[in-house]
Amino acid sequence: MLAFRNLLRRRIRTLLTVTGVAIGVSIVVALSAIARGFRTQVNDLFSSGRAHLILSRKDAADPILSYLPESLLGELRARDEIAAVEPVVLGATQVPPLAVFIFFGTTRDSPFLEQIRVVEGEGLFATPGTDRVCLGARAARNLGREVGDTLPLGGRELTVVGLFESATPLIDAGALLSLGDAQELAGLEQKITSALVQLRDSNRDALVRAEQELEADYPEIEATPPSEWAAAFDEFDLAEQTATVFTILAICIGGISVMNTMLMSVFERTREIGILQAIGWSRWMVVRQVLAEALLVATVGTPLGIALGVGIVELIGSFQQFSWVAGHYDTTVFLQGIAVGFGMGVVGSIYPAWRAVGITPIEALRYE
Amino acid sequence: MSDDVVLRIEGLRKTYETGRVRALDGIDLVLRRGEFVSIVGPSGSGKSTLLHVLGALDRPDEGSVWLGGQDLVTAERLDRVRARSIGFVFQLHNLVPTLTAVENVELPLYALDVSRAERRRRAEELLVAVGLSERLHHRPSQMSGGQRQRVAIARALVNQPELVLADEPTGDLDQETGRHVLELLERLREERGLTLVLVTHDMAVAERADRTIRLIDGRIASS
Repeated sequence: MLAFRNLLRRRIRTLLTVTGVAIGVSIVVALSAIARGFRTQVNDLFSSGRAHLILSRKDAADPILSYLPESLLGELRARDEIAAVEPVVLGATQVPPLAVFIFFGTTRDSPFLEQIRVVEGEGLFATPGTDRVCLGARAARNLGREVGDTLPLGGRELTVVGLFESATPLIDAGALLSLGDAQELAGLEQKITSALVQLRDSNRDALVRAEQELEADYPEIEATPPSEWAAAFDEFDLAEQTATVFTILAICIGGISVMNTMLMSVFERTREIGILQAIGWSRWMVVRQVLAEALLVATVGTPLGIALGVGIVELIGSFQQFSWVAGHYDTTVFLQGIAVGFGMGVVGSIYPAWRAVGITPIEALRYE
Repeated sequence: MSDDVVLRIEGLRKTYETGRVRALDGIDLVLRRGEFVSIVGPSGSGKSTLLHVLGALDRPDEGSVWLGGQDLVTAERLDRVRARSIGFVFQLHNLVPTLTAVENVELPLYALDVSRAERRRRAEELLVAVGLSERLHHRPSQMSGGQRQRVAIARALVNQPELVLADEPTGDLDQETGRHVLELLERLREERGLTLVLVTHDMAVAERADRTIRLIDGRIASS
């Protein structure tokens, strides 16, 4: 009761502090949701297809930099445990106005094609030929292209032969090319960026055995199930580590904001705190009072921050340049937001609480 | 300590500035239940220091202080002593401005873990007793100086203390209002059998007490 009334005493100051907490929480929620969303999308790229394993270069920091020799495919196809292997070239280029435009080079039989649904025009391989491109629905919107239009890519003019949709925004905002066109565009002659492997026997034991044997026979290769593919690349860890750094920064900066408010509140109420102690309140009760005020600020600021964070992600995703951005909101993201909000409250109230218990009733009674 | 002795002080000494200023210099004092004692003396005579020791706000350097059956020199938790046994009325009312009268009166009871319903019952009963039945839910800013001081008196009594200490309770009030506040304190003392210690500069106020203690240079000059 007293904590609530104290906060209402200085409404503007309280409002600014709540806003500070909300902004801190929103940044953490947005960063975490985007980082996790990106990882989820990468894991989803090949998850719904027939592929049991994805082969990538072991030390590659990014899927685009995972160069494997195309000749590897023949060796893999000759192995008993493997039913099929299809190559993928994953690349990125600039297509004005987009700073980053992702393309996927595949073959006619690639499990990757199971991730998309042609909604207009024809499929990439419906008619033989080169310089053909299928655009994701988002990509077509972002680039203002329709079936029959041309698209300049890497100095070549490609014809848009079809539009497709995918549940994964990263695919939906990209383009599908033949393997050869993609290799040329990415400058990867006789190279691929990953291989999708279908095993003859897909039970758990066979999968683990195949992973181990492939990695033993080809030390430069990392074999991972599609749903864990992102774990093969340091880049995604880096994104989440960045979110963690921002989390710590948000707690520190937000904590200082809360501390400032609580300190001013304690200084303003020096006499009042002394009187409360004089009438029997213990130091712990005074600490609880300061803590309660900070936690009240956090209780209001945290949900606002979470809502703001979700709004920021959705806003970013609505921009043409970032249409591949899709937040992944799982329990961890929300728990991070809550931890940051209340972390700010606790961090911000420690010093003011310490100052408050340092006030003795005698000093306070002299204080005017 | 006999049953009717509320407070016993023997050989009380208190110095400040590492012994250079003797605020209290050998005070012996006994207060009996229901007694009304005033303490007077010039500035710097030790009145406030004595009040602080009596009120368990400070510990002496030497001597003993017994309140009820409790030794205040060795008591671990003086806040518990204050919460259970002492009521304070200050010169300035010192009410929490954001709380209503009844909420202010309830404050000491939080330290005693009294239930919400009981807190409210006792606070309302006391506010009625001090004549503020119409002001229960008013904030301090909505009340006159005299009314605020009556709320402060109710707050001092709500924990049913053995000892009520009033530090210049009329010092911030006009004469008429001050007289009413004193009359209220006297009436409540008689009705409730309170032991009341009142510190004042005003001899007219001091003379209303059963006994007046005059302090000079930290010693009792007359009693």
